[in-house]
Amino acid sequence: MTTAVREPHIRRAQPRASGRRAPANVAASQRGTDLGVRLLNRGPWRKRDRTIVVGGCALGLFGLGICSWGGGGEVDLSDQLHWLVGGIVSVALSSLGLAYWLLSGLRTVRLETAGVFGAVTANRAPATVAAGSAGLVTAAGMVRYHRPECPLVAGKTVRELDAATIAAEGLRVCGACG
Amino acid sequence: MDVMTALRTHWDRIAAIAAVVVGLVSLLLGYLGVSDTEYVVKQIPYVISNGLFGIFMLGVGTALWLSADLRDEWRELRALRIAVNEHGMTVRADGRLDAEGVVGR
Repeated sequence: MTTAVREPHIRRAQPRASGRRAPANVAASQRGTDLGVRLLNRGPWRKRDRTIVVGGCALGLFGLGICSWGGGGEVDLSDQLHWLVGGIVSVALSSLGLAYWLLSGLRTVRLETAGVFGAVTANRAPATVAAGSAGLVTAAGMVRYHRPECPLVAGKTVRELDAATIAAEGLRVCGACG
Repeated sequence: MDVMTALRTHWDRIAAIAAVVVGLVSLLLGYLGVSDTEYVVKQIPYVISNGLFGIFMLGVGTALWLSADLRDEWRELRALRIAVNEHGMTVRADGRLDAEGVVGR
């Protein structure tokens, strides 16, 4: 199965020749001017995502306006309730658009995370585990348990875990390999 | 960071705060309008216009704030991937890049 990795548009802006030194909290990987240009992008969303969220919100606002106008002109409670339901549906519609927006961005971020893990650990050997273990490991300072092939423990000195140890130490499952 | 730079870089968070404020004000106005009358027929329009609009704006503000967090996270990840792919950065034994970017723990 082939997974299409989305590559959102990267704005090709010209780097600023300010000559200022990057602040200490900026990662070294971001200090290059070339990287700085590439970071000036629109985020993890595609044009279709923007269309859906803007369309959903516009539709919801339009429906809400119509229902507000219609409900305000009614003097009968049962008629007003129909407009109220229409308003609720409008808000729900726009909420679906917003939820789609967030989920789409989250999905792209997860794909990017997987890409980073793959690039970082491409040439690293997986952690070695003694035969007969439960197949779960952790390393010093970690609060999660991992599979031996997990990129987050690649090359680290790990110790084997069993169910009792995991429960006793309160370890949580890894978000990448679990 | 001057005001224009802050507006340009944090426009989504500023918009989120503005949307939440508008939503809260709308809800407050709706409450005042509803509490001002005892007739349900006069209260329903406040619920539709102020109440639902306030909820809508709160949702927009929340989505804007969360999307700002997602955008920041994506930028950081993308910078890491570009650095690793193009600059041949290596990984130390403790799982950190040879720069300052933490891979994970």
